[in-house]
Amino acid sequence: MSSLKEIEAHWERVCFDPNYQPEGRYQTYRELVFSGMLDVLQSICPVARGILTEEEWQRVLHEFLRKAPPRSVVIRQLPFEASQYLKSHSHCLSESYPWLGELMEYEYLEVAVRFAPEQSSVGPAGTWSLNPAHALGQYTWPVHFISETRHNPESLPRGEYFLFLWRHPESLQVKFMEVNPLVAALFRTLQSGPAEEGALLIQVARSVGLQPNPEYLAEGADLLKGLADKGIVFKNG
Amino acid sequence: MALTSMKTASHSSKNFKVESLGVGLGLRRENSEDLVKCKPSEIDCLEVAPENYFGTGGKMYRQFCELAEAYPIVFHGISTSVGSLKPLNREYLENVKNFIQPFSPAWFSDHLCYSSVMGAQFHDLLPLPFTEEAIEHVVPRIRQIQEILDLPFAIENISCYVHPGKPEMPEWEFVREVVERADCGLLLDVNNLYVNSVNFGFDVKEYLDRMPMERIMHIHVAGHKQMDDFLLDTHGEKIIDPVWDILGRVAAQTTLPAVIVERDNNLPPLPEQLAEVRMARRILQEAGKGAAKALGVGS
Repeated sequence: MSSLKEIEAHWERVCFDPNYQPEGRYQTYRELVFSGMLDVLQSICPVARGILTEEEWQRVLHEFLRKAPPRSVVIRQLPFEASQYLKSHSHCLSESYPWLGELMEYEYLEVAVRFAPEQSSVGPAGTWSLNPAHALGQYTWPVHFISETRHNPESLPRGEYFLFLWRHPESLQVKFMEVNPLVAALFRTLQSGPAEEGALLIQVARSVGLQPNPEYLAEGADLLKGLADKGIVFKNG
Repeated sequence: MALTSMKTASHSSKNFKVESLGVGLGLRRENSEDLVKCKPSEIDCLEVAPENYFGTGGKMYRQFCELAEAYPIVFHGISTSVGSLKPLNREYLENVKNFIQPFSPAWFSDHLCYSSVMGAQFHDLLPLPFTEEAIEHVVPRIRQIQEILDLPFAIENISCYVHPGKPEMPEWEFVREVVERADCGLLLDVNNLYVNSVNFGFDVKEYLDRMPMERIMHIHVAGHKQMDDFLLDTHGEKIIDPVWDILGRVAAQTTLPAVIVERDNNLPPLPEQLAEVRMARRILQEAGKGAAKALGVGS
């Protein structure tokens, strides 16, 4: 091993191939790289980490590193990269913990929202905008109920879960709530930009096959006021 | 000490006429709240990894902005990966440029290492072989980084536990050849130098005697851990006397535009971090030259 090409290939095996056994101090590098990533994943995904055994946690993360090594230079995005691999591939823990990718993504979203940029899309006066520091997750498992004491897949009802996370503009605290498909559609519509109230509510109704009658429009107006009180949406002045 | 009270240190080469920023501390998530509260006068500047703030907002970003109002910022990257065979990550460098430009930095720095291969990120710093092939590979990349950022660039010596491949030259020669051929600055991490001198059994004095001192733009001082049969660079322990001694030797030989106490892990309470900043300043003063002289606080 002497050329740069050979040395790069060797470093890749040392750090990402669990089937390769590094010699001497190369093993130190393997441990440093792996433990550095484990620390980040553990701190951002404490619920997932708390459920898995040490052996399971290391095995699944070794698999992620071998098959989909991290690409982002921003280390706090590592859990997102791991979650996307686990969500989209059959992995070594798929049978025992089929919700693992969704749970890790949900845990990551809290950090993503905490660090989200603050520039808001300011629209014409009177239109509604969404707080830019937000995330909307859509899951097939009730990840917000998964815990160390409740994680058996048989005890978890599968379905369609919409979880909305946002950073309060004043307290800067990250909050979350489960929303129904209609509210999720409202958020998705606002994600594409500010909207006038009537047009917004009509577009949302049509997207989910509802008739935008006066009762619906009145309820929609109340909903927007309630969301504004929570710091989720704001009316452009 | 106010920035305005500082004198300007400049190097002989046109690339290294950098403003002297004094003695500072690495800004970390763990110390930013305390720094915002106290804004300690012991610190002249703060060192920041721009990657940590790309596309961010919220509390940590606001703390950074408040501190950037109070102190000059030294930007130090961790993801340039000058050693990688893959072309430089232009998107990353553009992000760095866009992020740091509003602060009018005098230079940018990163490590002489691999931080990724084939685009896969290690989130750690892995050593290059000390070979002519490696020098010829990294030199044009460093020049390219300087062009893209339109800033002087300083490259940092890293700590290491193995020499990948067969070394064709000692570490000092490898580092010197890179900085001279690339015409860039040197970020000398005196802890990394000490760790490597113990792990590979070379003489610190010889290393320093062969280094182009006039290219030092930036110094890191840090701690390490004694393992069974080698030193592990943790940047997470107290700085020991032999490392302080190296700082003193370097300060006695050249001006030091910035000296940063760098703690990456296991951060002690802020007063302990500040005690190390004061220690660095005292050493510079005792050296009677270097940054302390440039700052007007020399003996």
